[in-house]
Amino acid sequence: MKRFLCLIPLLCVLALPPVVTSCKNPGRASYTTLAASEKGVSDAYEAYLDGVIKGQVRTNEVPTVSRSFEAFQASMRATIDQASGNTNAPITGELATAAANIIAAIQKAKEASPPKFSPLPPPTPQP
Amino acid sequence: MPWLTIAQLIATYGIPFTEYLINLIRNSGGPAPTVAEWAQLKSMANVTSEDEMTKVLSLNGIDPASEQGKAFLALVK
Repeated sequence: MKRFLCLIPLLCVLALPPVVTSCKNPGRASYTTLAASEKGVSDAYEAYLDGVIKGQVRTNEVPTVSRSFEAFQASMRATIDQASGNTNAPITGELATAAANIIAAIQKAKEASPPKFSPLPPPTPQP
Repeated sequence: MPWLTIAQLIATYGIPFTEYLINLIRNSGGPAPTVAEWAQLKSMANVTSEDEMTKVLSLNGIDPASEQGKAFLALVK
């Protein structure tokens, strides 16, 4: 169940090509797929950080996951530059690999044993 | 992972993501993306891990400038 939830963003992105390739405008198809990839990975990363802050996930893997996120963002920027100038530019293999890497890193971090330390105390109410 | 946690994740991230996907698919038959649309997507791709951590800290009511917030931000640097 946990594995399925973590893979949802990637599955949604992979399921998009059959839908978007039916559209008449290849530029719109590229944009749709890129936007879905970006949104999916960003939301997965935010959900992961949310789990870290709430003490549900170990902090050991945060640097690794964060580096994977930065690598994905770098690939996404390069792909956007290419796609916005060339409406027929496909999603590069490097971007797909970067997306898979961050999802796998998040999945690995969540599957690790529960944290052995006590979560940070709840935040003090803001005035 | 407890069911309550899963439900919270779905409510916080899953539903908005699904709505975003539905809107994208609805617009997939439209004209070529505008310069503004590409610029918006590029701005999403410019978000760093530090920006994301700051956002999630704020959502959880933690001041990023506090000791607690700085400790979390140090993890993503």
